[in-house]
Amino acid sequence: MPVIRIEFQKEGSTKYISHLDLMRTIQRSVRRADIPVEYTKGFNPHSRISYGPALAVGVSSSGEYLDMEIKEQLDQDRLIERLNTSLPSGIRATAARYVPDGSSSLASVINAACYSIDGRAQPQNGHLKERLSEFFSLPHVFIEKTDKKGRKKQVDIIPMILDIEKILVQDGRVVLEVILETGSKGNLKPADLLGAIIKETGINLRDVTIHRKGLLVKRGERYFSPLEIFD
Amino acid sequence: MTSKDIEGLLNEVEKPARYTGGEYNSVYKDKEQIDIRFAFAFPDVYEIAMSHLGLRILYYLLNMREDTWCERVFAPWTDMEDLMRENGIPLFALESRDPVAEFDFIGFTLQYEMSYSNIVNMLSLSGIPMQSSQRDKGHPFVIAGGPCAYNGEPLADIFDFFVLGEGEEVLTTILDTYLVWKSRGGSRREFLERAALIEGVYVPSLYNVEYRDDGTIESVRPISDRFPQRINKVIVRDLNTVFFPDKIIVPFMDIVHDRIILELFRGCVRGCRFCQAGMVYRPVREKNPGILAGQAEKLIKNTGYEEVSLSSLSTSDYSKLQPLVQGLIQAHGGKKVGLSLPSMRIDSFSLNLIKEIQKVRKTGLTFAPEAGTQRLRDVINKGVTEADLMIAAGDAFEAGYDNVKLYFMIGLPTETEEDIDGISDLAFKAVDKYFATDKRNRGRNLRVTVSTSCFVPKPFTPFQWQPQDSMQSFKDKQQRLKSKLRHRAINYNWHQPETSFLEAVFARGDRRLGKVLIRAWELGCRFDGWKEHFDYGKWSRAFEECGIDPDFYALRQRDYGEVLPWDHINVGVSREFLKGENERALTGETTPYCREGCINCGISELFDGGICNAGD
Repeated sequence: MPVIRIEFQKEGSTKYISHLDLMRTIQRSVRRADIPVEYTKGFNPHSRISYGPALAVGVSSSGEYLDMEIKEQLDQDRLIERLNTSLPSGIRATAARYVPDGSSSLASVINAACYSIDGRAQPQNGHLKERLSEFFSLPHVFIEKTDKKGRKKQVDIIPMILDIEKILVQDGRVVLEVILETGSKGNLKPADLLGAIIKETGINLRDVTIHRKGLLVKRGERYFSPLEIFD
Repeated sequence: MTSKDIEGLLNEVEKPARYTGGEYNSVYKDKEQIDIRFAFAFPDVYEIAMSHLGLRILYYLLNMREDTWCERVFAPWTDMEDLMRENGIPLFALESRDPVAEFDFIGFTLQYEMSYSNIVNMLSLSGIPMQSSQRDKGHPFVIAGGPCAYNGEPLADIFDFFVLGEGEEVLTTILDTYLVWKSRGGSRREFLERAALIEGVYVPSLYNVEYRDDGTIESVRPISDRFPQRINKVIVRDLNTVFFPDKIIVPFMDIVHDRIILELFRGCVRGCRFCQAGMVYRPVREKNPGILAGQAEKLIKNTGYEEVSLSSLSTSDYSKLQPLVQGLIQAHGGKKVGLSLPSMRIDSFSLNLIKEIQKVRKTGLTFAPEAGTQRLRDVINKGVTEADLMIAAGDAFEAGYDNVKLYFMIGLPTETEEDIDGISDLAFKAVDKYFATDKRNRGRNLRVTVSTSCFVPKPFTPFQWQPQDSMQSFKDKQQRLKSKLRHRAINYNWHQPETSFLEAVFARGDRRLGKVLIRAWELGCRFDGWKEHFDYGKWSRAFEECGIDPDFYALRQRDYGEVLPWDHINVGVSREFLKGENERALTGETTPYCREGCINCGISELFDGGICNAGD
């Protein structure tokens, strides 16, 4: 069965819906669009759609991905068009490509994500940019994480900050653009990074919005879109 | 306040999707082009509100009008409420996020007495004066419908008016009347007086209640002859032609009934004497299966839902259930659309139907014998015998079901210890039935769940004159069952008697309870239907401070001569019929169900012209 990989946005008020809600919403949109999706066998059939790493509630994104198994190969532009007429406002498919046979799943291929974090610093001045740069050059920053069994452990987040694209400070407004390790091998949530920044630098950020610019595949020192790399 | 301020709160609350709006099929209009802004209000959280069929119907019905924009507003959960109060954000409608205080109408649906404190809370959050008499021209009209509106007396000071019966047609008349009034610029009182002349509209401020020394009611009279002595409910005469939406809002988050609901019929042919719905929703009117099939087709296409529920008060009484079900499976089974049949009387016919629908998946089956002995089942006119039940349970076990739920009420009129013991006997007989079933056919993991609720006598039922059982007696009976129902396969669930007591007070309450409600809210009561929020101590204090004895409402035996707070409301079923049924109950005499012959409940006198389909 052909598998199509679809890139989509999750913006506006849909950033407040959970991953589970998103899955349900996409499944129903696909049904409304009458796309011939494949179903799982068994007593409680579900459409065969798989996703990349979940987005936290409250975080918007312009680069989410899903793989959908369909019964017959359809023109990808037509498919996107059809899907977009049935998606709720805020969610929009932006590109698609058929996945070659034998490709790896989104979950196993995605290992990074680019985030933009935007907020107002309190207080508004005091060498904000320098203090932020200093934070990112620290050798280690440990945060406490709780594993699935409820055990607490200390994790160094510095190795999980893969790149710093932008540190912008203007009139007390701070914009950070960072690439963080994301996925099953290592995962740094932007909210945890933010917590560590506040703790280490003493800069308090208010009215924060976090946007995921896109999920990425890191190969060597280069980053690719999941529409470019399949294995 | 702006939409941006609300966004700021959404990051901090549990389940923000309750407040975002923007779901697929939600309706957005240009408010500059609108004459009437209507907020459909449901006094509970999103997940419950969005499951309600009435909302789904009226939302689209009102939005069909080009001059009207109907939006939704629900009770914010307590975390959201705290943030709204902290940040000075008033109650807003989900679609426009505009404050509902700016609307023309706020229409509450009253489904459950325990949601009343949420109504008060929502009005408080909106900044609209709590009492009808305090509102002026700049305020919306705050109105209510739904089953509890039939005795809305405890809320008489709050609501400007009640809509009694089915809203589809009367709402249109109300809005048309409103537009005329608005264009003439009349007073608030003028509109209310005009509305009071619309069939089905009850304006409580135009009626005076006199009390006797013993606390009972002397009379309820309109303040002028221009207004009707008795207010009749309204109904839709033909369900085949009445509006039904061809789409519904598809929520982002999981809601309680996350599926398409088809309404097979209104009313009920059964005459269970405890059941208010079975009385107030009469007459029986069926939709024909062709119409239903068409509605299902459009709804499935426009929502992408994967499940259709065939709903009504007693789904197995739909006369064309089998062809309807087969037609739906044939048309939509290939697209993995499942059917669910709630409110089924389980017998071998319905079991076969359920098997056909569910094919392989064996979920639980629910039986509602309601009472533990045949004597008491006769008292309540629940036409189910133990033999019926055991045959059905046997068939179910034989078919591989191993999860059975049994629903009962305790505290029914004339109940004795024997009836309580009958509940546990039935549970054990079900267990025995399972072990008598061939091992190769039965499921592996028997679960018999026994649930008992505490009986609440309701207005417009034969038991409207009966006292409720005392809280202590409920607790003793629950204790007795707890000790009897000890078996590894049996679970026992029970209800808090305090909640049922309060429900009984408000169900048959009068206008004097209004101040208790507001006092209880001031003391912090809200979400009383939610165990984690219900605080009987606060209610108790509110009654005491207002000098009102709740036992007067819940525990008192009324005589037939007493003027009941809802006697000036006419639901069609006559007082004489209810009285007769109560008498028959006390002697254990059953009444045949409507299919066997008309029992002259009175409904056909209110609505003549052969509306009632019960005999068809």
